[in-house]
Parts: sequence; C-alpha cells; structure tokens
Amino acid sequence: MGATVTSFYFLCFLAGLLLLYYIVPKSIQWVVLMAGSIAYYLLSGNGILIIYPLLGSFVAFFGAYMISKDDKPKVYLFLTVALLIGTLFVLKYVNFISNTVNGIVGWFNVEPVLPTTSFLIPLGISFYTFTILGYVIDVYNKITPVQSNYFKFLTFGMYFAPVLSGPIMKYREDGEQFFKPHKLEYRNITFGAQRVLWGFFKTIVVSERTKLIADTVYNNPTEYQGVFVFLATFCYAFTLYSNFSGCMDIVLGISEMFALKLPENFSTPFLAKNISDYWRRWHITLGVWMKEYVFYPLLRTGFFTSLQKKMKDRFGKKKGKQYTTFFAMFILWFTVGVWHGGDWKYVVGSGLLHWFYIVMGELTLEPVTKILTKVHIDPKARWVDALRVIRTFLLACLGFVFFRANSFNDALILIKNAFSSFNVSRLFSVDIFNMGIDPIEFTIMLVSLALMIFISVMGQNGSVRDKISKKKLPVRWIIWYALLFYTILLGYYGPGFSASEFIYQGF
Amino acid sequence: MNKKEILRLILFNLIFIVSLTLLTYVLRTNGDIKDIFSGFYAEKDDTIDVVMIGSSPVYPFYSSPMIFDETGISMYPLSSNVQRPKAMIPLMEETLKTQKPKLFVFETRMFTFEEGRMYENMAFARGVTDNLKYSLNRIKTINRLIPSKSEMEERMSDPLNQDQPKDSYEERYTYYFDIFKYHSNWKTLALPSQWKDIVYEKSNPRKGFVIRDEVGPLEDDEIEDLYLKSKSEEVVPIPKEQEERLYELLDYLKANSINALFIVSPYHMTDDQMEMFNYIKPIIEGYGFRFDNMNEEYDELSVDFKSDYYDYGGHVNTKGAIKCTNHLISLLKEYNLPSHKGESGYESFEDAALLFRQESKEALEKIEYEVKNGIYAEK
Repeated sequence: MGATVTSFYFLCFLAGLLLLYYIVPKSIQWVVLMAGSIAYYLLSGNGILIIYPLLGSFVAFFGAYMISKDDKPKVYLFLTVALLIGTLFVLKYVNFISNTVNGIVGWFNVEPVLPTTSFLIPLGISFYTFTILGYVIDVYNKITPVQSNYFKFLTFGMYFAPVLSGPIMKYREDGEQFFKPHKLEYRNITFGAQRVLWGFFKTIVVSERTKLIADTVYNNPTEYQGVFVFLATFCYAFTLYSNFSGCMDIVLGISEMFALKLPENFSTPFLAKNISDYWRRWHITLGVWMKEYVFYPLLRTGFFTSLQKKMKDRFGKKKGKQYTTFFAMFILWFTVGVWHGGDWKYVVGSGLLHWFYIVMGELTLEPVTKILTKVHIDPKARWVDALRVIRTFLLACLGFVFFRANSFNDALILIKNAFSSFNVSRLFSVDIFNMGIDPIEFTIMLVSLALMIFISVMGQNGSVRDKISKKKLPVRWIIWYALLFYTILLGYYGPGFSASEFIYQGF
Repeated sequence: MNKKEILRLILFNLIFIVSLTLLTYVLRTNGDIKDIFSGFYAEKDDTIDVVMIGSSPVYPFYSSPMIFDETGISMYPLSSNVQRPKAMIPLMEETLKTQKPKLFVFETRMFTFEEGRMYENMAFARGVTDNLKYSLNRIKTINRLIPSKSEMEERMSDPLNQDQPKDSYEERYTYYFDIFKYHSNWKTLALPSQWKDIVYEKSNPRKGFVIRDEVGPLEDDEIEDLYLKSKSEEVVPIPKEQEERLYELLDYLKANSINALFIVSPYHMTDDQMEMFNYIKPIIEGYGFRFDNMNEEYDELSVDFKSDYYDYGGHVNTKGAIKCTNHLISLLKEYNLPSHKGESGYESFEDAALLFRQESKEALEKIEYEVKNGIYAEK
C-alpha cells in the first residue's frame, strides 16, 4: 500500500475504514480503529516490524499497570523507560555513536574501531515511543487515568494517522476520546476533508515545487554562491514547513473525520519573534513533550538541584538559576537534535544551534532593551517586532542549512558560499530558471506560496474553515472546488513522478 | 447527519465527479488517436457500416472519406498505435454500444508480435484505454490490457523482456483514473481545441483517416528481399498468447454472428512475419471468414516501396493509402454493403469526402515533388 498518507491506496484504505467506523455499533468503533491501524502497519512496509509497536505498547501498558499497582513504582518506571528508550536508541542511534567515535579516531589516522550495523526500523518508532512513554510517566506522576485494557491502549498507541510524523499525543488529553461513541457528524466529515485537502495543497503543490530549487543547490553545494544559497535555503524553509505542516493537516483532518481531535503541531512558526517563540509554534508537540518529560524532570534531579545551589552561591540568585537552566537546556536541545536523526548535522542544526540562539537571546535581552530605550526606540513598536520576525526566520534558516545539507561538511561549504559572492542582481536574471524550475512553474510556486502564507496568517484570528462555513453555499462550494481543482491540476503526483516521502517520516 | 446534509454531500461529490470526468477528457493528450476515438463517439448512432480495428497500419492506410466517396459505404477506424490483439473484443463491444456495423475489418499485423514486447511502452496501451469514455467496458479493457503489478514483475523476469525498461510500468489505478496521468497536461487547457473534447464527442472531419505526405523509400535490395519473402509458403506459428487471442476473437465473432474480414496491410515485413500470416490464414478461413494478405499482392496493388511509404516501409503515405483503400473497396464490394450517398444523416461523410479530395491532391503533389527531388523523411 505504501505508508505515505498522500498515496492513492492510502486514500482508498481511509475511505473503507471510515465507512466501517460509522456503520459498526458505536461501542466497537475503537476496535475498527485498532484493526485499521494494525492493517495499515502490515500493509505499509515490512509487516513483521509490527512486532515493535505491539511489544512496545505492551511494555508501556504493563509498566504503567505495575506502576499504578505496585509499591515500587520507580523500579517499574525505570525498567519501562529503559526498555522503550533502549529499543529506540539501539535501532536509531547506535550507528550515530559508532560513526562519531570512528570519526574522532579517524582524525588520528586510526582505522574505525566500532562496527556500524543496519537495523530494519519500524515505521514511526520515534513518534509512537514518545506517545506511549509520555503515558507511562504520567501514570507515575498520577496525572492520567490508567487504561486497564491492553487493546484499548494499543488503539491509542498505534493509531495509524499520526504514527509516521506525529503529532505526539498525550493519553491524559487525547486518549479517552478514542473509546467514546462517535456519531457521524456532517461537520466532522466536511471539516476533516477540507483540512485534508489543504494538507494536500501544501504538500503536493507548494512543497514539491519549492523543493526543486532547494534540491538543485543543496545537491550541488560547490556550484552555487551568494543569493542562490539564500534563495535555496528560504525555499527549503518553506519546503519543510509546507511538507510537515501539510502532513499534519492531513493527519489532523483524517482524525477529525473519525471525530478525534489531535493536538496542533504548528502555529505560523515563521511569524515568531524569537527562537523560544518559534519552538512554541514549530513542532509544538515535540517541544511540549521535551519540556515536560526531559527538561523539567532534569531540573528536578539531585544533580541539578545541587548545581543550582552552587551556581546561586557563586553568581547570585538570578544568574545562578539562569546558568543552571542553560545547562539543562543544553541537554534538552542536544536531545532534540539527536531525536531528529543520528547525525551531527541534526544535532547542530535542530539542536545546539537553537540552544545557542535561546541562550544568546536571554543574555542579550536586557542590554538590547536598554540600548533601544536610550536611542528612543520603543521595543514594542510594530516595526521592531517585524524586524524580530525577520531575524528569527533568518536564524531558523541557518539551522535549516544543516538540516537539509547532505552532510555537515556540505553545510559548512554552503554557509561559506552564501557569503562569498554578492550577486543579488542575478536573482532577476534568467539564471534563476536554471535551478530546476521553469518560469511558469516558478510563478505557480510563488502564487501558491503566497496563498499558503495568506491563509496561515488569516488562521491566526480564528479558523479559516469556520469563516468559510459561514458564507453562503455557492460561495463556499466555489472556494472548495477551486482549491480541489487547483490541487488536482497543479499537484506533483502520478506516474513518472515519485513524490518524496514526508520529511519527518524519517524521524 | 440529517437528510439535508447527506443530500448536500452527495451533490457536492456528484458535481466533483462529473467535473473531474469532463476535465480529464479535456486534458487527455491531444493528437491523432484522441481525435480518432473522440470522432468515433461523435458519429450519429447506427450510421457506421464498417468498423476497422487494428494498430497503426489502419489510420494512415485506409481512407474512410475515399471509401464513402466511391461507394457510399460509411467506415470508421478504431485504431491506435501498437494496438494489441487483446484490445479487439473490448473495442468491438465499445462499438456495439452505439453502432450496428454490418462488418468488422481486423488488421492482423499485431498478431505476429510477442505480447510481452508490447509492454515496452505502456503509452500504447493507453492509446486504447485512455481514449475510451468512462464505462464498465473501459474498466474491463484496462483489466484485460494492463497487467497487475505482480503479473508485470513476473513478465519482466522473463529473459525475453530483460532488455525492456522496467520503469515503463504504471499501476492500474492510474488507468482507471487517468487524471493521475494527464493532470500535468494542464497547460493544454489554454488550447480551445482541447475544450471541444469536453464530452469526448468531437467530430472528426477526416473520419479517422490521417493524411501523410512525407516519403521514406526502401532500398532496392530491401524491396527485392521483401518480394522474395512475400512469396514464401512456409508456415511459422504466431506467438502462443496471440494464437489464444485469435481463437478467442474468432469464437466471439461466431457466437455473436458478427461478420468480419481479416486483412494484412502491405509493409516491410520482418523475417518470420509472412510465414506467420500463412499460419493464421487457414485458421481464420476455417471459421468462414475471409483473410486477405496484401503482401501477396504487391503487383495487383501496384504498391511502390520507393514512393508510397512515409517511414521506410512501415506505413503508407497518401499515395500508398489511395492504393490500399482501392483494394479495400474491392473487398468491401463483396459484402453487399449499402450506399448512403445523398442520404440524410451522412452529410459529415460527404464533407469528409470533399476534404479528402482537396487534401489528397495537395499531398500527392507534395509526395511527387519530394520523390522527384529526393527529399525524404527523417529515419
């Protein structure tokens, strides 16, 4: 069938499952979801790998049960976390360590000392592991109800829609709705389908076009300089955004059709005023998960409590607390980077670089505000905010250079090349059409991008679908037909075209 | 969900399906084959006497307008490039939906080809499937012509197909829903001619005939060799799968009491093909149908391989077409087909005949000029 949610077979599968979901007795709707999720897993790749989510869910279910019943919850928490994280670590990050160690010894002209292995990795292991792990920790913290039915827990843990790219769910917020009866509602079906359509537009119309420019430059890092590197990087920023957020729209839209409300993962991230704000808008559920299950527990550990005490003694109350937090944040962002993939380009581009931004932001906040006040500039002025938005976007783009580059070295070459030549004028020459896209396609890309940004900004002041639904029937039908046919005609799909997988599918 | 909402959902989807269907018709790649099929659907019901089915040795070889002009018989070719014999029954069934032809003519060149070889370019299969209107018969045709993924993988593992491009395979669903293939033709929406195909019934002014006015001659030694081949009385079996298709077709014709004529157009045959035609001749005649191999009659046809072909012996230009059409007319005369000259409802055939007279005259002049000056088509 293929795993990707934009494939023809997936849509057929979805239609069949949806039909079944609403015709069976409401008390067993969750069974349909469970069976559908298992079927999706079996049909989407190497079926035998289903053993991982089945066992992982069982470990989490049993661990949580024992934590809630036994008088030694810490032991069971440790064992469960070790098993789940251990599996994730072995399957995804062993090679990262081997490559790093071998790389270091390689500097001293020593042959590789650690072997690399290649495991078959089950679909969406990072996403379902974090989802079920969050449940176990919540049970330990006694903030979530304990699910006593393994199959119900499996339905939640293996739910097919978010398994590939998220969002990462929390049982205490999203879990129980899976087992409630759901009536066939016009609004759920239409709003869900509309959101799926919007997701398709973002992925197969916008992302696939911006990707062409990004790929042309990033696959030939030595051949492009100056403005072309900037353009490719901006294009990649929108490729990643439209691809990932488009995938989320599809996942959330599908879930809405099943009357399930999943957490949002995006909120116009490129309008963020600083990097902390950016992470509250980009891959929201990962940020929340990391904060809740890594950062805060880390700060509560004995090591950090005593470190904070020592720091406060040395640097004063405020600074001491701040420096300790920075250190904990370093571990948090390192983890975020590693989560994105076993490669230093991710550790730097999606992790440590952002840590650096946030730390610098915190440290410079006060002096910058003082300077602004001194030169009579209102720090809250709209134009200052606009500059902050641009600055944040550029900083995020620097991270994307590492994220997209084929290797860490390529990223460094591209950054060097970006500043090696001032060739803005070539942006307005025909050279731009030698970057994998012709003038017509380029125009479509710009128009589609503008539409996507316009709708995303409009969405900040309330649901766009809600606004459309309040219009008269002919108007709203014209809008949806226009989007439908625009996507069908201008989308990149079909024979002779191999659509790239969702970028976050690999994490 | 209340009744009103259900109705609204149904209506929205219905409008979408109808619009998408019409849009796909418009977007299907333009060209001779689309015009031939779309033109066939545009013909008035029960007005066609003869339907000719076969691959490329049909539409440039036999001029329906000329046949009408000279006999009053209405003929239409349902032909596409490398049309596999497997497509013949579905195309007959498609024909019988709107027409009651008194005779089907089958061009049999493709019976000599290995079925597997014809997968080389799946665009040829699309020539049939993607030029049919949406219907149950179209689905059946796709199921018949397009192998499933596993069947294709099995075929590709055959040593015979090792040299074939593996990526030419396109999954069946892209045939059922050919918008998957043709949406990228959106730029052709700017062409007014494409919009005339919105219901896939665009009258074909040449009644499916395609005028060719280039010249691609054979060399003397090739002609000599061809004449020798055409005299062969040896027999070589056709590929097994094609033999099954031939029997299937013959049985179908018999079971449905359909009259048929089988022909082979004159062309530069490869080594075994004449022997293969010798093989199928008694099979066809055994069923009581006439089989006419024009390769046995180069002199009677007065075919000239130096000036009658546009692609070096494969397909005729208009000069050759006139000769082949004349021969077909002599064959058709044996079937007591009615003349529709001056009859109401056949005005478009009268117009086509007039157009053919003008265009063929120009084509013949050009051909003569090019032969005289040695201007030949690109090889």
